Amino acid sequence: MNFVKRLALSAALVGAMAGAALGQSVDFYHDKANWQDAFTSAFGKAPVPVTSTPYADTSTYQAAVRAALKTPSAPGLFTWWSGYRMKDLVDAGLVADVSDIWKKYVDAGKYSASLANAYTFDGKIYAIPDNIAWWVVFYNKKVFAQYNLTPPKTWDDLEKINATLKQNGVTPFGATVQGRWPAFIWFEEFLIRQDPDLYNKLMTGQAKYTDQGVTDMFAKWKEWIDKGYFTDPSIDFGTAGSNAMASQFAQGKLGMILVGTWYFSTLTGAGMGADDIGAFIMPNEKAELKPSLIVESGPILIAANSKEKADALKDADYWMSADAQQAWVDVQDFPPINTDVKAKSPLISELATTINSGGYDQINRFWEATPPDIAEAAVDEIGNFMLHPDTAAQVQQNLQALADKYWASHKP
Amino acid sequence: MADSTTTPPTMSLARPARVTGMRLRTRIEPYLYVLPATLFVVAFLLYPMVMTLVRSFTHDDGINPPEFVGLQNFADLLADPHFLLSLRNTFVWTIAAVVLPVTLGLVFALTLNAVRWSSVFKSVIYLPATVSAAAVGILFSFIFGYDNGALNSLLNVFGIHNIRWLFEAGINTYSMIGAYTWQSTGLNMMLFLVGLQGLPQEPIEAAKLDGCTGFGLVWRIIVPMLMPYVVIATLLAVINGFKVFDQIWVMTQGGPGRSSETLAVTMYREGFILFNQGYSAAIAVIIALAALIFSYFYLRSVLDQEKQI
Repeated sequence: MNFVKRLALSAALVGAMAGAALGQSVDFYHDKANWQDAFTSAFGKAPVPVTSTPYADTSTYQAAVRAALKTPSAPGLFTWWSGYRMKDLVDAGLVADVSDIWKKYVDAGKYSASLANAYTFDGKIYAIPDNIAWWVVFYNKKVFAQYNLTPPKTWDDLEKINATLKQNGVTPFGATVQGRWPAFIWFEEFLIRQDPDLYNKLMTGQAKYTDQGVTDMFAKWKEWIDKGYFTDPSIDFGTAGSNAMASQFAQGKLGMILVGTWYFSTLTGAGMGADDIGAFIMPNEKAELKPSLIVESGPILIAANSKEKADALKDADYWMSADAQQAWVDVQDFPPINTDVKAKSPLISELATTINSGGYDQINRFWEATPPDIAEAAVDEIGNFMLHPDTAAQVQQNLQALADKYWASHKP
Repeated sequence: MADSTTTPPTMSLARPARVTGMRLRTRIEPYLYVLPATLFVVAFLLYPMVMTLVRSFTHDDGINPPEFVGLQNFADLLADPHFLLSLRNTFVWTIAAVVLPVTLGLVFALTLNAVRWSSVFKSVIYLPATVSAAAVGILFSFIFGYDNGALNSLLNVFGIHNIRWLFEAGINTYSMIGAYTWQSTGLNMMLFLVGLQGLPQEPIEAAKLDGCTGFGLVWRIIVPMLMPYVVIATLLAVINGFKVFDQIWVMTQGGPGRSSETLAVTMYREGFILFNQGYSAAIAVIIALAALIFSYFYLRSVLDQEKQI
């Protein structure tokens, strides 16, 4: 082979390699800047290399992704929110159907089919799970030990814990309106402890915020506020810098916080030792109800118009594998969802055992379970109740007005 | 006859091509210098402004094709109690932004300009102006915190119970205005100090010789001479008051219950949280029009006064 032929062959080879390299990368956008290293680690062995791009601000992120989704330059993969918060993307045909990937893993017994409920529209599944969070009560073990308390099995147990803590100068529960969205935490929790069926109907416009069940819920909530079982609702929660709630919890001034399991790292960051934090699932107020808990389900979606769609589907398949999920759980300490994956921390492991063996109904979180047009305005109304508990009746009227306005032009 | 009127003069045809090219180049050359700047203005100012105006006449969720709705967004705004509250809060902010930082800046400038060894005080008052509005928001969130905020801790010493500085509808806007005043007084003070140092001394000396001193000297001689600076400071304060956003977003996100929203916050919330982008564009148009109309009449009034003088 002469020199010219060798040169031409080398050039062709380099060109082919460069072309392959340029084509084989999947963009992954997300708004979880703190998770950037964890994403890089968990996607490390993906069949097509993944380039993660974090956005610092959620609103900017949403605007950027929504604008990109109509074009071929949309990211192959991107994180989003489940339920009604992804419905408009599904309705507009902007995200890919991943039912086949789910079928493969569900048929193999690696995933519970119910996990896909929050991503299912008209029988098709449009997302894979990024993270699952269980909404549980974190409690300060030292405080509980000091007053001879144990995690409650019944509602009466919980009432006794509250009374004991209050008598001893410890605020039983944290509750806040800071950051707006935390207002829904206790709304959904009180409601599912009294009437989960009403909660589910309310979320989809089949019940009214003025129904007697909702009135009863607000009455119970107000009773607890009046008894001093909650922090002042203006307490910092960490959504805007300071976090007085976590500080008070670490100092033993606050006994319990009802929140998603992702808050565990916030508590350890506030000075709590991991061994000093316990967790339990709230008991039902009505004993005859089936055990249940609120679940937050964060999805990863595949852009239907993206030029990277085929590669993104390969990476989505990999993401659901035990290899990727174990790597993900190992760095993030999230609840494991692939049955071959082991939890990282004893706390999550114990919760997983309780939930899996206890037959718990997993109920979608308010933020995703009801349309954003209602949820975004509803948290402000619920926040008004928390700040001024005597306004429950007016708040119910206002909530129903929001629901009426939305459901008048949308199918429940 | 026909030929003499329809045939062009032969002189122009005989004009050398090189001369014509040079004249053309000479005429075009100035436009080429301003072309890059013009392109930037068109691309980054005029085009977005026109698109915002167009979008304000549509229902647009950023996903589906926009639907033309005429003036519906503007009609909806006038019937929206949240918008009306937001408008009211914006006026409160605008008035406060003029009255507090500009007045305090003028008072500090007049006081410190006449005081020896005042550079330390000037620096201390000016320093907050170097901090970003978002950072000021975070800082004052600590000060206004309910349970362990600095302000409530101080009040507790005097037996006063904790106050929800940021979470009580009647209070939170004023709390945030306090933080805004802390930050923006220094810049106004510097503006007035520059003005004071540039004032001609002869009228002031003449006034003193005529027995005009103290407050009378300030009010009758110095402040009128500082009017160009007062005009600029007031205009900037009004525009800043209209567009205030970042500090509110960091401290309350417009809450609780949307009680502390201003027009800029409402616009952001509608556009980037609820994705009602047509509605959001309508708010943007109203903010721009309000600022434009105020600026026009304010400047015209001031210029008319100066002409009379």
